[in-house]
Amino acid sequence: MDKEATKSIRDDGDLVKAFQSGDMIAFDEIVLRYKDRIFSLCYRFTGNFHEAEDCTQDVFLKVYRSLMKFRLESSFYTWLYRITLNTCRSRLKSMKVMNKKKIGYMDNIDNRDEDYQVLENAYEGKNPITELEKIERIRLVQNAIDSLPAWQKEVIILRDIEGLSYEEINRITGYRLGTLKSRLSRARHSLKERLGRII
Amino acid sequence: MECDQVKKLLSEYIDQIIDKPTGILIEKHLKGCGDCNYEYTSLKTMVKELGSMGSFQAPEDLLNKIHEMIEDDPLEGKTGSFSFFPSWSRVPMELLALGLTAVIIFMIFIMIQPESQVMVAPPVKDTTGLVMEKERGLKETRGDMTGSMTRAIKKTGVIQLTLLLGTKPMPVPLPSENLRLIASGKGAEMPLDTPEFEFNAEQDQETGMETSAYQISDIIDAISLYEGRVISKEYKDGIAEPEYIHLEIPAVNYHPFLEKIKDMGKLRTPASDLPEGYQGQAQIRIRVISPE
Repeated sequence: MDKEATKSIRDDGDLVKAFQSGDMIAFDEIVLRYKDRIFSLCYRFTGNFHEAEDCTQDVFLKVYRSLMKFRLESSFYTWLYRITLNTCRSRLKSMKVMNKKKIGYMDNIDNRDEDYQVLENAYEGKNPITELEKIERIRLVQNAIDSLPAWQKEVIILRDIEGLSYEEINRITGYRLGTLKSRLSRARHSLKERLGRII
Repeated sequence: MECDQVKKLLSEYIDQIIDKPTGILIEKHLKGCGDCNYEYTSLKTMVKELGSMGSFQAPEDLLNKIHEMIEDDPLEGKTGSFSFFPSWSRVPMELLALGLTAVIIFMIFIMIQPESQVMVAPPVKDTTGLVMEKERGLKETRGDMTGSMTRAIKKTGVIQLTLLLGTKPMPVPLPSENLRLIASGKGAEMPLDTPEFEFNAEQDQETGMETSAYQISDIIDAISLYEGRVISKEYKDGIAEPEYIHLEIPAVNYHPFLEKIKDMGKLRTPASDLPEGYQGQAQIRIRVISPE
């Protein structure tokens, strides 16, 4: 992850500078480069296709508004992830307040709603049975993650699913290393209890 | 090592961030304890599985939708940036910004007292009594930003703060009911306003009390966290740590940033407020005093 981040810092920096010089195409390139990763992150947090889509759009709109002032003192993707995390947090809170129910979080596979299609598109295996098993497994794991308290869900997603290092998570969230270790340990044990025999 | 100790450290052991002597002890314990070894294996398998879940594809029309949002909600007046000016005017605007910054820095040097740079708005109560310097100590209660500890200013000059760094707070224990819910795997049922749901990064119930003092790096982290930037630092001769930090923070994050700073110690003078409706960058100059 660090090597990928190092490479992308050089390229991202060029795109940021280009945008700040008036090149609007640079912003489009940034969106195309990060849209899947940001959408994934938003989907992991919200568990809902439409919420994740709205969340992703909000993130990039905030990026567009703030990119002129971005000074590249931290890496671009750290800054982007921080915006995403804050946006997801706000979205989760408003979802709870509005008591929104997730749109059939793939409870009915036959409907093949957008949530199911998100997972289906993630796998392009040739064996339909294996693919179905994988999708079902992912669904169960995502449900378990979704049942975690928000602060546990956050560290599990960033560390174990997104694969960010402790230092990167520290830069994004501001959590100290000791806090992060403790939270991650408890989150992993909580998730393991929920998953039971699935994994 | 006892099984309880080992199980608590398994997460760090899996991530290979544990110190070598402890790692050796854990490895030795796992070889001889079937229960802990099972716990380790299942935890490691779960982490590996999570890492292989892959990413999802964003909707194909996402970029178009973002363009529509940008067109429907132009930037003017919202960011205070130069993005709505045509590119041909950007160079002279940047020169103007540099000139304004120079004027602001010049004003800092000719000011005598922090309070003298502000104008008190007529409806605000006289808070002169609160301006007096208080005794040093960590027992003073913090003022409420919306109450008498702030005075409104009409102009957005550089806000001067003097911060006496304190020691890091003890962790706040969760209510026992919330601990019970977590232990029984029902953490999602915790009330919405529970501190953990508020993502309070300062609360940690297992690492114990941190007795070290806050440092300059904590302030820098806070600036970054609230999407601000450090403009400059000023050093006293022979001192490695800066005495002054000059920074800017988006106005929308000014109050949360101030609360974060006040968590790190004590402000010697009340923090000025921003004009109502101000949406630009708040310029702040913090004088940092480390505890002796």
